[in-house]
Amino acid sequence: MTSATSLDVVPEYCTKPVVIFGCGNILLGDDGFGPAVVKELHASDIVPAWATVIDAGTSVREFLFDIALSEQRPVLIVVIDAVDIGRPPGEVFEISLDDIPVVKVSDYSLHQAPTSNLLRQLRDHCEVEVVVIACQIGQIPDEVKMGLSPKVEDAVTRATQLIEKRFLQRDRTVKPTIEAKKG
Amino acid sequence: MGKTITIAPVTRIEGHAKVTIELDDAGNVAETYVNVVELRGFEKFCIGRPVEELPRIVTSICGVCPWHHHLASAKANDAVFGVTPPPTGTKLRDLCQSIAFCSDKILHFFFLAGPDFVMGPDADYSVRNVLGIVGSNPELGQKVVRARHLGTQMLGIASGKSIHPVTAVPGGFSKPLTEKERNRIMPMAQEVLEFAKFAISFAKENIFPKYAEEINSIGVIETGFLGTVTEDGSLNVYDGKLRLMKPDGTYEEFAYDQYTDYIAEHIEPWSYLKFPYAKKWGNFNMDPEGPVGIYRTNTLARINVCDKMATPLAQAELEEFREKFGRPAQQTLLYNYARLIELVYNAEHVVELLNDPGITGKETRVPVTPRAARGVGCVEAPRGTLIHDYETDDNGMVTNVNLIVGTTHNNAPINMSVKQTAKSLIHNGNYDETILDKVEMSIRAYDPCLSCATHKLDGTLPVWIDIVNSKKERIDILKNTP
Repeated sequence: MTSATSLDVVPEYCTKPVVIFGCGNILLGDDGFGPAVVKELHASDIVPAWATVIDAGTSVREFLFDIALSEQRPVLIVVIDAVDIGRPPGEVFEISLDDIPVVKVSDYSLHQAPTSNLLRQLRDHCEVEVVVIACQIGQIPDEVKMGLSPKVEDAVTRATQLIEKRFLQRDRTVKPTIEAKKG
Repeated sequence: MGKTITIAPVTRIEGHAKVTIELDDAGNVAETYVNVVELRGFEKFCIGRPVEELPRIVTSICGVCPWHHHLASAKANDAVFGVTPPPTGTKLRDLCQSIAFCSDKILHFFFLAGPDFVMGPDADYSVRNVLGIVGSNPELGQKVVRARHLGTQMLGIASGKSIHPVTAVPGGFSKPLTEKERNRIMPMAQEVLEFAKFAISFAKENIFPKYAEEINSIGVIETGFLGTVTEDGSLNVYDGKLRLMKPDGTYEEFAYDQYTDYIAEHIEPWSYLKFPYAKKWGNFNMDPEGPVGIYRTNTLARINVCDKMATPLAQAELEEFREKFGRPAQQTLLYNYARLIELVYNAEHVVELLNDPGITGKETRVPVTPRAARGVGCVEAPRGTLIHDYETDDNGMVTNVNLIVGTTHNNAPINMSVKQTAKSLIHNGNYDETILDKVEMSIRAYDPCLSCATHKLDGTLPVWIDIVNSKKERIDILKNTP
């Protein structure tokens, strides 16, 4: 064993107060919404040093398990994802983990908040605040197809602005809590 | 009245499956089906694209195995372009392959299958998950997460990106490993090796002895096995020849670009996923009482087909394993034991590669020129032999793609194991959650990645049981959540 690596071995997604994950498969149309928002967040240069933004693609589980087991954890996790819950396509909104109906959890669906139970465990047992910012998809193709539909494409900038306003303007290292959830 | 029990979805595996158990009029198992969903249309999506783009695109197929798809695709590109990477390029690919293997083995054993063992299959559902492990053994949880962090960091240093890799290119690897980078990675690799030694000792002392009965009863079926070995018969996860072993231990070997001469794909109307089988063994049959053509891949298969391990500690573990279980070992739950032997091997192999002076060579790739050709690339992915088969036109544009992923090889064996388990545990219509969880346990041992199309993982997803009569009318629902 060595201690030489002990200081730099804990990844940013465990040490930064705010971690934002864009989730989804870019090969499946509107399911690529989360990664698209991450791309715009990086391009717009608005991410402060105390936050990290990650394109988790289809691998968000890799990160969440590690956070659950880590001694150091973020104060706030924001998950950006495409969902299908019957709202107008392109609508961006926050979903409470408690509002994800159990029936949706067991349905096979490409466009649903990922790892909802693991996120609940992080919130309930690890004292991590978890927020899901979702976009109602237009259509998920039956077969592999890249690219967002026009209404979801338009939603990328709105979601980016919402995330900046809600989570990236106030220094979380000073007061590591978030405001009450919006409806 | 005959009735059907449906378990949907199976928890803690990547993707989703719906398990259907049909009972006959006496309440005994008549038939079982594991229905799966997969990413469809990928092959068609690739047609018309420059073949050199595929190593970057295929990393989005699967959130679990991006490195293995990346490397299989790069090897298929080598074959299409007709080039051989320089030794350093091959070593760097091999290094990343083994680091990724280590991370996956740790993830699966401790996070996905491990909870069944660490907590026990009869433990309350609310604690039989990853946080249950932490709660019962916090020190273990910290060791696990640190080892995984080290793996991520090593891949980041060696390749720039750990999640969506881009560094394997047609003809080699896009960047050399500097001496400074090697010196940074080495202590991390040594620490992962120490963890691997701890993990297998921990499991042998604290976990496997408690479950001897389950190991010898759950999901036990008799099949052949497929895996990659080197010329001297050693297990290898990056390159070699394919060895197809019959249940009696005899085998034949072939170059992986000849796979279509040995493997055919059966189709069932109730499953999207094909059922590969050894076509020289006879007509496909996955009845557990008399299977024909069925082989398995993944950890247990690799451990069975190889003659030896190329590293000393893994070799000692293999000898101990064979002393206990013989060769080939057929017990499905031994996948978990084999997984830890592979962890030891890959951790040793990473240190071995880092000690190789050639790993920091400057020549990591050779130039390539488009041509019309067919090229097959193959690596061992954590879930089994992964085959990428491409054809291109004169301009190097893709004209045909065929992929066989690890879980697909195991489709028939998974179905057989479920049937065997269900038959042994459900009698006269009597079943409860413990019995049904053991059915799931027999599936999870294969570590199936049933749908690379979905990024959902529902850590404590409820088990839902639909009971329907012989007319397919639902007569009851059993579930373990409100």
